[in-house]
Amino acid sequence: MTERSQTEAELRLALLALPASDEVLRNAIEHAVRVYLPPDSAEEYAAQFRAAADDLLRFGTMTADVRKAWQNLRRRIRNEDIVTRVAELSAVVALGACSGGEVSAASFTFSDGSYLILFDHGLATLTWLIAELHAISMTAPLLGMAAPTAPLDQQAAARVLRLAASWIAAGGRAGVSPPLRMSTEEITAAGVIISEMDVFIIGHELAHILLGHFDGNRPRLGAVGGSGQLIGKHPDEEHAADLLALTLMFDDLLTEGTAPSEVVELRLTAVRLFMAVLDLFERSCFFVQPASHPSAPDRWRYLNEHAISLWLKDSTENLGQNALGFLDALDAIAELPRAADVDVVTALGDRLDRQLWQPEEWAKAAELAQLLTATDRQALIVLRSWRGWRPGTDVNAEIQRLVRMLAHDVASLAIMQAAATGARSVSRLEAIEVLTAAAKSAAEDVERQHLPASQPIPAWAIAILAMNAVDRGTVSA
Amino acid sequence: MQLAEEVIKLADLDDAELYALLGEELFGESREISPGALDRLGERGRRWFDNWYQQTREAICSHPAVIALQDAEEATRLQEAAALVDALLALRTAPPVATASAILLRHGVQQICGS
Repeated sequence: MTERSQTEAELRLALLALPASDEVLRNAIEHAVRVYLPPDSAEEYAAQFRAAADDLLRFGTMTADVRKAWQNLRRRIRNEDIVTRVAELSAVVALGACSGGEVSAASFTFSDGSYLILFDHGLATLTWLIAELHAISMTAPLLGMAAPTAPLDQQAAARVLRLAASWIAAGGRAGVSPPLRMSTEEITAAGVIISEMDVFIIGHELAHILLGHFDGNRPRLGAVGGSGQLIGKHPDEEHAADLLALTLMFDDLLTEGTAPSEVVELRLTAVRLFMAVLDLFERSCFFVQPASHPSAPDRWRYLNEHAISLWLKDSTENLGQNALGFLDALDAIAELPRAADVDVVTALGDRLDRQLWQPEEWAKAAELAQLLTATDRQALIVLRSWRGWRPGTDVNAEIQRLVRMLAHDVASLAIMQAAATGARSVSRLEAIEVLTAAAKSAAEDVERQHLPASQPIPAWAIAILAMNAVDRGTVSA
Repeated sequence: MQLAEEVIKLADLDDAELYALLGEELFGESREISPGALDRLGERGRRWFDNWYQQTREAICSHPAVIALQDAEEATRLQEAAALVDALLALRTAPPVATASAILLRHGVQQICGS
């Protein structure tokens, strides 16, 4: 029998996602056994744990999870045309995972007709964290699994999630998150949620292929700058891929015409939580939502309008009390300062795996995220209370003038234009660095004209006002 | 010699530009679940290149053209580029040759293959 030659997708994957070394994996598994597999664990749970550890050692990455998601999705598809097409695709789609630390899952196409679907560890870290937090803060059963006897307060859970997003916003590697200790029942509950998220994510990437989004030669916007990235404008394609992914995910239930409410709740909860974590990540990271993707709340609204509300009487009811509580908690903390999010370690108590927790680094990330995501109100309070203003100065007019001056600085104008026009994605970290430097320069004359102050004018707050105005679209750069 | 000249031109780009170009050549168009916080093309290009380089450094350095270059007292940039192109073309799993050669050229053959 002749050996099949590797596809281009497999060749690319082989060098993009080198497995971790056995030593690294064995150390990680040993730690996990100590923390998560107490000697009195149920045999069934211990067997699952050992199987997962074996998968990890075999692939060296979370590739096994991606393959399981692909199989889970395939099992649900009932439409015969799609079943046939996916069977054909199986021969040319390479599935894999890599540890780049990015919040990413992507599909690629190659000249030999092969495709690569790649999950990144950074995305999995965030989805696993929200699944964990949801599981330990549940107040009602999920798919017959009981809620924890002492659930974590949902606002504390929301703040832990926001802290992890702050870490990324502050330039940290996405594949790091507050390490939590959980009971076997809680891990099982989190496991079923993340499995559903993975099904949706792989369905989204498969949908891009099925919908022909790789066909044809769309003009690209072109590379921008030295480290710029190529960005196409495909927001409609993202909606279409989400819609097909959700349809495939529910195809078994839609075909049968009836569905247990617990199963519907679980699947919808997974997609809704995925969108919630994506929203938190995007709002923490980007100066302006990049033009390539609709915002996560828009994506959920679209799914609701074009699918869920047509399938179900009341989609909100189907989300269930657990997910709604978590979403409410995320809304409730929106105005609370991020710098204090590190205090959630107190609320986490013994649930935090302190061997892996680095308090100073997380505190720095939270403080930086506080600066990056300050509101107008917070920035204005800081600016108005600056002690250098000369008596009689119209402080508000002066602040407005300084903000307007940023538009005359070449570097800040370029970054504001890039973000506002969607020419490339601009991170909040990058934007605040450039705009703060420009604001410092613009404020030099102010500092000369005004009273000697012990502290220089808080230029970052001027930058924040400009960034927020561009983000709202009230200033067109 | 044309390819070697192209390599020299490419080597004038900075590392970020070269890795972004390599990422685009290797992975082309992609569809992502979310917008990228980082320069994804560049990151993917860099990660792929680092792994590829670790696996192929020995083969590159043992190519006759590269050995001859190391033995030579003085080599021009064009000779260095040409030797790298020859070495990469001889590999079984060759990357985009011009861009990968340009990245290697920026480091210099002596540094790559020196003991």
